[in-house]
Amino acid sequence: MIEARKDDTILDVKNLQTVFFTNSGLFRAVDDVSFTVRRGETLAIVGESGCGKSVTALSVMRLVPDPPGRVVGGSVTLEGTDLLSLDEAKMRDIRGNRISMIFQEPMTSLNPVMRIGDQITEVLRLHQEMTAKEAWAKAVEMLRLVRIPEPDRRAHEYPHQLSGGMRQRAMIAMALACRPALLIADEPTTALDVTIQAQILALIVDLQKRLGTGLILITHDLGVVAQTAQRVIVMYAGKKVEEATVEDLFENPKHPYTRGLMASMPAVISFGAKTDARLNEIPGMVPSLTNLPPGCAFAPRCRLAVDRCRAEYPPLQEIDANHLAACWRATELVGAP
Amino acid sequence: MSDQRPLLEVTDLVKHYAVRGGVLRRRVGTVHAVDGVSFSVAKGETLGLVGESGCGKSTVARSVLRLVEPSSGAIKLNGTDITGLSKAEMRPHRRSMQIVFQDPFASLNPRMTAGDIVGEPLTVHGLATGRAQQERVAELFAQVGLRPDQMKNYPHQFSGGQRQRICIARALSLGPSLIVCDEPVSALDVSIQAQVINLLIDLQRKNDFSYLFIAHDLAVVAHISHRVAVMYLGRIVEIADKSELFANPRHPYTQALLASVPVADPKAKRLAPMVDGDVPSPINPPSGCAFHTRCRYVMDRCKMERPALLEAGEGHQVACWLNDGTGRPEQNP
Repeated sequence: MIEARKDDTILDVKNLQTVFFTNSGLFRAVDDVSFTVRRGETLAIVGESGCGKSVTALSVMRLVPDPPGRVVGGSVTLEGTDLLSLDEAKMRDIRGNRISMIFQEPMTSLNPVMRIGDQITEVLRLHQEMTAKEAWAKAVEMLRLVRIPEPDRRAHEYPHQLSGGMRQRAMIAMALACRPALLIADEPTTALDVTIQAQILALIVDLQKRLGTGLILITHDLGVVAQTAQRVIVMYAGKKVEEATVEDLFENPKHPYTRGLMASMPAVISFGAKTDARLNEIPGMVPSLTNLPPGCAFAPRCRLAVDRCRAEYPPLQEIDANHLAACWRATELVGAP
Repeated sequence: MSDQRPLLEVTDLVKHYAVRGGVLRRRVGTVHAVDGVSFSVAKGETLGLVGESGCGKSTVARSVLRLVEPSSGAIKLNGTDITGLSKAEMRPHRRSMQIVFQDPFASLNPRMTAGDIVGEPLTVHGLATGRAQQERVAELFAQVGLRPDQMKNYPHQFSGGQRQRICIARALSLGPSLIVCDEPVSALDVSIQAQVINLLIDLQRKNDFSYLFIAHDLAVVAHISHRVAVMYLGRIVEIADKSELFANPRHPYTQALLASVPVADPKAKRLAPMVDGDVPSPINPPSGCAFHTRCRYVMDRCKMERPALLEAGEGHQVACWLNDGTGRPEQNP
C-alpha cells in the first residue's frame, strides 16, 4: 500500500456487477456501479426498495449470500487493497477492522445472549492485541463515546435491556471500536422514532468528523441525505442513474427519477399549501429486475420518455462539473423540480 | 366540515393493560397505553394522529373500532355511544367504520383472491351476492386504480402499493362514514406512498367520508390532515388545525418533533437534536406532565401536576403549564 493515494480516496469501486441466480432467472442487482469515498466524507446512496443499494454495500463487504448471489465483475479497492481477490481469512481481518457496517435493525445484529461489553470486546480482541481487561476498558470507553449514559453499568447489560436508540448506539460503538477507515450504515435510523433518529444521525456525523472515517449512508429518506451527506448517488433498478454533490443534487436534479422522488415527498413545512393538495406522484411501479425493459429502466414511468429512451440505455454523462446523470434528456432539465 | 354534531366523538378514552408476572401471574403493573384521550372528527374531515412508537396512537385507533375494549371512556359515532354495545348490536355500526392497516402483506388472506377479499364484507353484511357482488367489486377495483381483471389474482401477485389499494377497496366496500388509517403508507416506497396518499385524498373528495389518520411521519400527516393531534405517552399534548399546528406549535414536544424531521434541503442544515434521552416506559409513566423528563423548559409544577388540554387560541388546544397553560410560543419557527 505504498503507492501514493492522491486525494485520500479510501474506497474505490469500479464497474461493480452483482447478479443473483434465481428460479425466475438471472437478475442484475447491481449493474456497472462505480463510486469512490474519501477520508472523512459521507456518500449517500439513495433509492427505493430493490434498487440495489443494500446489495452494493454487501458486495463491498463481500457479504452477498452465495448462492444465489455473486459478484461477477468490477473491482473494490479499500486503501489500496483489492477486496474481491482476497481469500475469506484475509477478508475477515478487514471486516469489523477496516470496514464496518451497521444495519437497520439493531436487535437482529446484536447477539441477544451476550453482554454488550463482551460483544464489543470480542471485536477488539479479534483484531487487536489486547488483554481482556484492556479490551473491556476500551469497550466502556466506546460506549461513553456514543453517549450511552452510565457506560460501566450498561456494558454489563444484554441487548434486550436497552431501548432501540441505545441498541443502535451500541452497534455504532462496536462498528467504530477498531477505528475503521470506512463505515457503511444501511438505513441506520429507519427503525427509530424521529426524535431518536435526529440524535443518532447527529452522533454518526459527529463521530465521523472526529475520527475521519469515510461513511456510506444508505437510505431512502431524502431528508436524511440532505442533512448528512456531501455526495449522493441515486440508484434505480440496479444502476447508478445520478451522482452529484448534495447541494447540486437538490438544487438542480438532472435525472427525471430524482426529480420525481423529490416532488413526490410531502413537505412538513407546507404552511401555505392548500389542505389535501395532491402530491406529484411517479406513476407505475419499480420494474421487476428479472424483466427489465430494453432501454432506460425508468422510461415506462417517465413523463419525458421518447422513443430513444425505450430503445437504448443512456450512458452516464457528466452534465455539469462533477454531476453525472444517465438520461438522454438530462441537459434539458434545469432548476429544482 | 360544518358546525353540526361531529361524526366521531371520543371522550376520556382510557386503555390500560395489566402486566402480569411471577408464578401466580399476579398483576405487577399497568401499561398506561391510552390515558384519558378526547377528540372529535367532523364529517368529511381528516384528523391526523401523530406520535412516536408506544405513544398509544394505534391503541386509540383500535379502541375507536372496538377492536380492543377500552378500559373506560365514551366513543360516540353519529351520536350513539358504541362503548357498551354487544357484538350483535355493534354489527350495523361496523358498516360505517372501517380500517386500513399498515402492513398490506399481513392484512390480506393469502388464500383468497383479491376479488373475494374485497367482496367478503358485502357477503358478511348480506348486501350483495353473486353477479351483483361481482359488479360492485369491479367498481371498487376501478375506484382504487386496479383493473377489474386483477380480481382473480391472489395477494402475492400484487406489489405493496397495489395490496394497500386492495385494503382500501375492502374498506370502501360497505360505504363507511369513517375510515381509520393506521400507518397506511409507512411500509411503502416514497414514490408509491405519494400514489396511495393521492388516492386517499381523491376518494375523500368523492365520497365525503372522514379519516382518522394515524402515522409517525409528520410530513405525511401534515399533507393529508385538516387537523392534527399530537400524542405522547398515552395523552394528547396538542391539537390544532394543520396549518396552525405546523406554523405555531406551542407544546415543547411538538416543537421537538417538528425540529427532528430531517429537511430535504442541504442548505437548511440543522441536525441539532431538540430532546435527549428516550421515551419513558408507559408502565410507570412520569408524574405530572409525562414529557417533563425530556423537556428543556421543565418547571416544578410540571413534575407534580398533570396539565389539562386547554384552549390556547382558536381551536388550538395544548396541555402544557408554560404561560398559564398555553404552552410556549416558538421564537424562531
